[in-house]
This record gives sequence, structure tokens and C-alpha cells, in this order.
Amino acid sequence: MQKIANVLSVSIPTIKHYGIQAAYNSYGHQEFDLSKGDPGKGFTYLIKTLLGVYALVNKDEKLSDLLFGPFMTINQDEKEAAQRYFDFIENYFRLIVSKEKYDEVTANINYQELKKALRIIMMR
Amino acid sequence: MSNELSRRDVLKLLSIAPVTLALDWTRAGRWFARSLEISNLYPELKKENLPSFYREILDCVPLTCMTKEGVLQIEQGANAEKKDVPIVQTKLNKRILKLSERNPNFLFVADQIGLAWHWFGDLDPWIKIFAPNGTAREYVDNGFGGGTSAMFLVGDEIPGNGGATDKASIAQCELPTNKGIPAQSAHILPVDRNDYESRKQYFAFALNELGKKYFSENQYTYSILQRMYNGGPNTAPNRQIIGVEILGSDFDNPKKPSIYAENSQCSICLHTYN
Repeated sequence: MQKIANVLSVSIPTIKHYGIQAAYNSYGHQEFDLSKGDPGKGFTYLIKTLLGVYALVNKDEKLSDLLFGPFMTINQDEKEAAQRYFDFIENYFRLIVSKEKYDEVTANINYQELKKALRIIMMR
Repeated sequence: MSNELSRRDVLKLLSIAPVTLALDWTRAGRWFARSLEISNLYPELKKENLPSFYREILDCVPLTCMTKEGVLQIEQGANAEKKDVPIVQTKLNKRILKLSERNPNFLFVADQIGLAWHWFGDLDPWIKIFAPNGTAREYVDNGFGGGTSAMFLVGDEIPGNGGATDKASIAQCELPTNKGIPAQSAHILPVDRNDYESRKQYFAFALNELGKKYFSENQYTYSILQRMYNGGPNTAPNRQIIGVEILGSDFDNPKKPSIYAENSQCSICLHTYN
């Protein structure tokens, strides 16, 4: 787990420093080069999910703006934008993997439980 | 044709006006709250409400920041003292920074910058040849296994104490220019547009599909990946993607010792949450 934490601690300041809209501008190597398999679609999805979770838990406004800001609709509702970020990265993951892979990865990372926690805060 | 408003037009405007005003006041209120830093209007997620898997990862995240010159620092101790992570610059980065003094084409084109995660690989004999002891110094001296480069190297160790010749935790392997502009990075080959034309590039197609669903036409920003395939002169990911090389391989394979396993390794918390 320390490795995953280290990936976050490198990625977060990089995203903030360079203004990276990570929902669609952070990638696994294989997304550019189909002959590669690194670092794994499930792993990439996990990191994007953790970025969103980190932003909300730590009330990191700059990171939130970069992750969720592009999903702001005309309502300018931050909750809705955050929800749309998580939907977007989940739907992207669904589109690029098989149903079996989606089920396996989401079970490994306990995504359904996380979704419940997110749903509760989005409803408040 | 008369320029005067008809009664119908007036009624129509009046019916829209309260909605518009309400919307504008909501926006104005949000802008005002933000400008005064009254509150972060994003929802708050309490760590204790997260599944343990996520809690445990967040507990291990070291607090980091970046200097304006683009050097990663770790914050430690009661006074959150900042210190640079070990800097172990690759030969390629040194060479490219030198070349960029005369030719700015080696520097990033900065309208959009992205991030890419890679794994290094850990199979024999590869790992024994290039990094038998798993230190940042070995990875860099051996050109990341062949004269390539990445801005950061990430390993399993807890950051903060080790240096370049200890087992790797986090190291910075590329430096930007002294003006903070990153130089070519990420060792990703220029994209093959045939993959897109033959519809093999399913990542770009997935982004195309979601783009239509999530963004209105005037709001939509093409991702770097989509733009790579959309023509134009720039097909060089290395000039807009920052690379993060992660030690190990096969992170999605449930048969390998899982890096997701709870309590696999995480013994201290460097980060204090609110």
C-alpha cells in the first residue's frame, strides 16, 4: 500500500503545479502505446479514484478545482461536479475493459462500498 | 418592422428573469464565498466513513508539495519542515536541458500538460541487470533500463529518510529548466495514427464517446490523447506528459503478490488530517 500512497504523493503536487486536468489528461503508458501493458487499467483507475477521494477528504480546493471543475454544469454545483468526475472515470473504465475485468477490479478495490460513502455525501 | 417589444415579449422576459436572476445570484454567492475563502463548497468526505482499504492508503500518503521551480518536497516533523526528495537526475534530462538552451523544441508545449504512470518491470533477468538493489541511483545510472527517463521514480519504501543509494521510495529524476519549464520526458513514443484510423485505439474512442456525454460543445476540451490523433503537427507525447515510473509490474494481476493487500506495508503516517 505504501507504493500506492507514494504514487499519490508524487501525482498530487504535480497535478496542482502544472494544472493538470487529471480526469482526462492522466494516463497509463498503454493508453498511448497499445503494445504496452503498464501500469494496468485497473491500477490507473484506482489512482484516479484515490485522487478524487483525497481531494474531498482533505478539502483540497485547488486539487478539487482541477479534478471536478471541468465537470461543472451551468448549475455551478460543486457536489454535482464531484459526482460527475467519479461517474466519468468509472464510465471510461467500463468502456476500456471487459465486464469481467470491471467486476474483478471494482471488487478488489472495494468500489461499491466507496460508492455508498460518496452517495451519502452527495445527497446531503 | 418595429423595434418595440410586444406585450408577449415582455411577459416572456418576465417569466425568465426571476430564474435568471436566481441563477446569477447563486453563482454570484458562490463566487463571493470563494473569493473571501469563506468555504470550500465541494462536499466533505470524512475519512472514517471510507472503506478501510481507502483509509489505509490515505494514512500512508506523505505530505508533499512542489517548489515554484518544480522540485518535489516532502513535509516532515511537527513543524512540517520541507526538504527536497532525493534528486537523481538522468543523463537524458541533463542532455535535453543543455540542448534546450539553443533549441526550445525540446521543452514542453504548455497549453495542456498531462501525467502518465508507468511500471518498470520486475522480472529476472531484467531487474537483476538494471536495479539489483532497487535503489534510485541504479535505475537512473542504468537509464531506466535503456537510456530513457521519467520525472519521478516511485518505490515501496516510506519516503523521508532514505537517499539515492537506499531502496527507492520517491526520487526526482528530471528537473525542469531554471524557469520551471519541463523538458522532454516520459519515454512515450509518438502515437501511431493508423491505430486510430483502423479503430484499434479504443482509449481515444472511449474519450470521444464520453466527451459528447459529459461536456457541452462550448465547454469541451479535447484531452491530450484525443488531440494526438486529431491531426495537427504535434504527435510527441514527450513534450506534454510528465512521467512517473513505478517499480514493479503487473499491478492488475490478482495472482501476483498484491500491492492492494491491506497492511501490505505501511507503518507510519506522515500526514495529519483535519
